[in-house]
Amino acid sequence: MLEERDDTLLARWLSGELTPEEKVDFEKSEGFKDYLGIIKGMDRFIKPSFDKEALRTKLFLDLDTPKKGKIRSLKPWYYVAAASVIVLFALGLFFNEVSYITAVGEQQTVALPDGSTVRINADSHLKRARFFWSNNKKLTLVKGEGFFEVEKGDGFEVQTELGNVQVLGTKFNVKNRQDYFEVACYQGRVQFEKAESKTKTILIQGQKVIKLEGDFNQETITNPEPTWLVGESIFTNTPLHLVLRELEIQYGIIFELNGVNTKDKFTGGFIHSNLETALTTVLAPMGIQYTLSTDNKMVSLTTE
Amino acid sequence: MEKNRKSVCDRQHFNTLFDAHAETLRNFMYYRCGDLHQAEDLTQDAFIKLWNNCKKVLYEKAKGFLYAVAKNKFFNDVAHKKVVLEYSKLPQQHVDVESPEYQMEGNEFMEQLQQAINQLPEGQRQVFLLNRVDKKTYTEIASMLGVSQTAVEKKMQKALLKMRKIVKNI
Repeated sequence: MLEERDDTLLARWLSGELTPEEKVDFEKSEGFKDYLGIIKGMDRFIKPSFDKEALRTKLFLDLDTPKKGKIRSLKPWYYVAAASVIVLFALGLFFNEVSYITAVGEQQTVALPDGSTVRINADSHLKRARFFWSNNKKLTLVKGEGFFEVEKGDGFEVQTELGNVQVLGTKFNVKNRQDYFEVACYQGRVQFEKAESKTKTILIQGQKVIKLEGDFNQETITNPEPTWLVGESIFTNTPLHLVLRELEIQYGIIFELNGVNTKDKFTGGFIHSNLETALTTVLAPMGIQYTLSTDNKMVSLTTE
Repeated sequence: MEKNRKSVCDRQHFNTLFDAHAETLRNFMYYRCGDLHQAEDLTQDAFIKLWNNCKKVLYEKAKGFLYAVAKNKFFNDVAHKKVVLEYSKLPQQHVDVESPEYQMEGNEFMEQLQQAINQLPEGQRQVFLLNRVDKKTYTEIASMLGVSQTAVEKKMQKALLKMRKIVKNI
């Protein structure tokens, strides 16, 4: 066969490049009719449909959206490294402080790394640095009340928004409530530095500084240690609303005042262990009736 | 010499390239892999790669780049899948006039041809269909494949010989 001797003969026949002699010979050959039939049949096939604009739209959408492919091609240990950094950063951020928080009606005793202890009264928040605290013994009393028994050593300090208390081996109480602030020294000496004026006051055993309305006043302590430590709250000539506030904190209750005058001064105390007794001891001398809700959460006040 | 050469990075020129080559490139890959969807994906990938490398590829070399990328991508895909692709059917024109001279019974013969196309080796099928269906010249096909024109002609001949053998059942 001709096509076995010439390996491009059929191709050249298809493209019309055969010489006249080759053409004559090929058309006489055995397979010619078959090839012609195949080629005629092939002419009936048409190109598969092509939606050019759809592909263009898809393409340009792809080109205009930021590529993710390059990110995917990163080696896995880059992810590990990046994740570790993030985790370490998060740990540093969230755990470099220790917070001691008490809810209403709750008290807590905390032992500090230097051997000092703090008794924290209800509804309070005290925090300190987690690491290397012994090198810089600063505590922040964000709110509430704490009784500090400090071991001998340098630089113990309690910070509040109204001022800082610096001590050297002593026992003292700091109270930082809404509308009421108090620093009381029960043993040794403390120095109180007011936040605004930077003036310093030294308190010796049995002295306290309070801030009720307006300015700070210095007063004398009558009890050997804060009464709240033994489950009582004692007040001397204190506006009733502060006493009610303390009741709310110790018992987790809410007062409905109903127009009752809470500016009257109260002297006395209440215990932390029995709500009804506590309410009666505070309210009866002031001439106030109260109604306690069934769930012991709301106290409604009325005067006669 | 023109100082301001055409840049592939120019959207307008890129679009011209797309108009000129998208369909043939799609068919080029389709005749090889037999999967229209895959062929379109390969085409799109090739154009994306061209766009991402538009600063490095000269406008005149863009065509060769597109075909080379699509081919390489296809070989990588196939090596990855190791799947023999089933060649799907080509559409046909419907012609009523039949030449009795060759005694080919219309649809039955076309079915035989389709079968024969499916049985061709990938390379031969690609060349044969580009020439017979897409009406591309040997020179054009040679430049797409990056081989000589003679190589394409030899492949054409082999394809046609094989077609005859299959159709005539020799």
